[in-house]
Amino acid sequence: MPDLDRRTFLSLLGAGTAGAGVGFWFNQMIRPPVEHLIPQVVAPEDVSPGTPVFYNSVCGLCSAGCGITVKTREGRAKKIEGNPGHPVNQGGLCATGQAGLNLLYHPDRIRSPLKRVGDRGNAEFMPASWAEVIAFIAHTFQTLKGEGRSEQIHFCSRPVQGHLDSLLADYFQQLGTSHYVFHQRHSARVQQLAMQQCFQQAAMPFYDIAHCDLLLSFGADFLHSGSSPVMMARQYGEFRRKTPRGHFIQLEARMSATGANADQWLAARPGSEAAIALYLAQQLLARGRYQAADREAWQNALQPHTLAKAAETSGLAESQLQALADAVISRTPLLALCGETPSHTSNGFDTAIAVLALNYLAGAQTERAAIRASTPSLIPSVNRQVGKEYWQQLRQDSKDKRVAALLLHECNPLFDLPAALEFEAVLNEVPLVVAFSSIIDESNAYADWILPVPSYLERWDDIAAETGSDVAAASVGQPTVVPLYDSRHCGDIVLSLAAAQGEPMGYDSYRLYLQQRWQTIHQQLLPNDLLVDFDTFWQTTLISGVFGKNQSETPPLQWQADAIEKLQFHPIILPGEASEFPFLLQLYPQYHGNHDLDPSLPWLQELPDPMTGVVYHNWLEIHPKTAQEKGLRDGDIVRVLTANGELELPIYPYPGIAPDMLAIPVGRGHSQLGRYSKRGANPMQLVGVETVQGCDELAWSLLRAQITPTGRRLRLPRVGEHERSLGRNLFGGQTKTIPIKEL
Amino acid sequence: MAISLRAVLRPYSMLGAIVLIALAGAICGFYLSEWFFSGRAPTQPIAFSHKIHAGDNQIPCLHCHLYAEDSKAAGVPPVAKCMGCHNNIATDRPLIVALNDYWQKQEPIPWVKVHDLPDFVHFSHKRHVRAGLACNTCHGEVEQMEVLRRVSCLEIGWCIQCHQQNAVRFGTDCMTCHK
Repeated sequence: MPDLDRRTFLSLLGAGTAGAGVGFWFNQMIRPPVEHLIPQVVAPEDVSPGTPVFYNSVCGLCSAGCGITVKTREGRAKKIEGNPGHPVNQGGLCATGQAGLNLLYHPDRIRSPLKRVGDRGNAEFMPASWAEVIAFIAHTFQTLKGEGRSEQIHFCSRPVQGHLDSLLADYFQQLGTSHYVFHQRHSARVQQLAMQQCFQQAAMPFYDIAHCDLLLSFGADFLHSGSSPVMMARQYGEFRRKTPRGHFIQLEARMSATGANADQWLAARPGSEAAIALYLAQQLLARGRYQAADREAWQNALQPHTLAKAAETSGLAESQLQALADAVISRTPLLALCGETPSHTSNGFDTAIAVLALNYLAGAQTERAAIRASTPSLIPSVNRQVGKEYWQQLRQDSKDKRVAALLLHECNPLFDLPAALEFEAVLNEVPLVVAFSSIIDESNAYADWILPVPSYLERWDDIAAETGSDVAAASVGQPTVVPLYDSRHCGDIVLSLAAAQGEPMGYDSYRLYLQQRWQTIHQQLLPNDLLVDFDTFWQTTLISGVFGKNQSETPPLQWQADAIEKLQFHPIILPGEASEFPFLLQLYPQYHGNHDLDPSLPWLQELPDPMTGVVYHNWLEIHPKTAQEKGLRDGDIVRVLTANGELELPIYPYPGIAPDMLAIPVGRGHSQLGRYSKRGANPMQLVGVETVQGCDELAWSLLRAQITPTGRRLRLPRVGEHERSLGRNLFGGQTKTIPIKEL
Repeated sequence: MAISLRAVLRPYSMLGAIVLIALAGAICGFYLSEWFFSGRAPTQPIAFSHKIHAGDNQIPCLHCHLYAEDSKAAGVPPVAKCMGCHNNIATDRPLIVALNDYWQKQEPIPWVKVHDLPDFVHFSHKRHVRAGLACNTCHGEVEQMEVLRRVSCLEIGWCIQCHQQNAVRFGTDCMTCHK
């Protein structure tokens, strides 16, 4: 036993104690945190903890109106799937719809009304109370009304469907302003205007993809970014499964994800779509497929659209076009689709009309045309979509101090509109800017007040199936969870504003208003002998999520005689000189950013783009050969310059694009809109104020551009960086990889 | 020439002793925490006795944990369920007065979880109850516990062992518990 003096003893004792403390602490630290088991105070009879409850509702992320089934447990939404009983999607649901939970649980959602504290655009806000904000806005509106300036109130909204539209229309009429308008970046407005001119129909037609034999798509990416992608994909499935199998030809300058599915893909020059469609229409007449009384008028109108002209503008060989014409003549029914990209060039209106004419001539004298009038919607809606003229007028009015209040409802014009329309200046000048939103976006950052609205999983809504379908159905969206935050439905806000102004509209809540309106549907549409009282009808509708009415066959469309002479082809006009801007730049809608809120949904953003495999970011597509000539490698950041603006993006060498073209997907590149959206660059800043000839939609899809390398690089986040087959000869020698220099 | 290891190590003996004793202390501390402060029997907001309810008064488990047969969660009784009896029984005892306070305020009782699985484990009471397992197979002799204590480790090896012994169909598949 060595000597143990006092000092040593105390040292060892200290070491032992400290060690024990550390050991004790370590054991406590590695434990899972204490969790609580919170019982209900009174258990509801129909809910057991752990057992899911399903609610049928309607998807609110786009205007297609797909039915959804939301699985909830203990009051929380856990999973969204398609509602198998819904006529539009029949159980299918797109990736965006699946990602809807991300919107509900988004960490950057606005949790209470906000009042601006910093400068406009800085997005500095402080929480406010509903009483305060309603009182303030109601007082402002009442003052404006008293001064006879109600017309200076502007309400710009996402396209509102269902009965919310009629409530808003009534309110703004009562307020005395006619400026209740819709804004949406990607809309079918050009085609709607073409429908109006050619057939006197306000609604989009019904495209019968399932039953056509030849599908000819002029740059339509209908499987991914159409007006109702799930319905169209379902129809496309039927079209491919039936015997004989439907044949699909895609004409476009940049291969889209839909184009990659085609049997035949023809690289037509952008802007030449109308010339091709008119040549094909001319062939239908020349080969006697159309024999109606107005045949001569058609023939005269189509005379100038010859094979040589089509070949020259499109860059396709005459033999290719002739083969195309043969296919169009021999295969019926024919359905031609016009995409969003070709309809937003300077001659996009020509293209939309030409494609309708081709459809009409091919189908007019057959038993079942592939393009027919849409069924009338169960809930009448008004198309309030506005174009460039509205925004220019708004700018002018705001300069002249003739805009007193601007209300933005779930739309983001600052991100969507080109800088030349000076919407930022409008937001800075208007005395009162109010935003209805669930996440702060670029436009909201300028608002004086932000009113949080519940997500579509927390609110009452109704949507009539997207016009352009063959079903007359309307769906009721019901809250699947109790609202997470202190938000209020737009309808409820409007009702409380009306009440605070001393002109109540007679409803305590939007839910009661909705129910009242559905009583009208119940009275009008249910056959009297069915004898279902309203409560039963309402409960049944809520349980099934949809109410549909059997519809007789959709009526055929009748071409307006005076529209025949409108068949024209104007060569494409692009701003800027070809010598200065040698490339054609195509901007195209892509499903990661089709709708305003899409970039904020991480599940959607981490889904690889089907053509490039890129996630979360956007990119500049360039032909591999061109990239090689310019000495650019995959991921090199280049500066893209157009006559109107510039941005920087990494390149992605893409073989499915013409060597003198570039392409950028639209939607990503936000500076606001929550934490997940701030990647990439917004290509709308490259766009000018040129419009589609014949209507006032912006011609945003095709520009002239030049590129300069910046010397910097960014490794694009993406899956599958290799050429897919890796030399394994997966297709038994039927395909071969072409080296870049041989392209 | 022989080297004496002792002579070499002698200057470090004090340091070595300190390290050794600290290590021994740490091990003691670790198990002290594990055995005596384990959190297996946490203090509850109301010192509820399973012995009185399930033992002395022979109330069946499913009377209070009413979802165990039909749902993934066994369910902790709603406050209303407690009050169903305690409106009349033993109303003057301090714990029942505390219970009544929650009921009067219409607030849930924040029980501390005794049996807690990680979120990545999918466990269903329904499956186990319907397979004929008695509650005490996993939860122990609850009817004798004044303070509820976790008796099983609830770790993967323990689950798998039972699944293997009983030849549970797909019982050792990853997907059975980790969905």
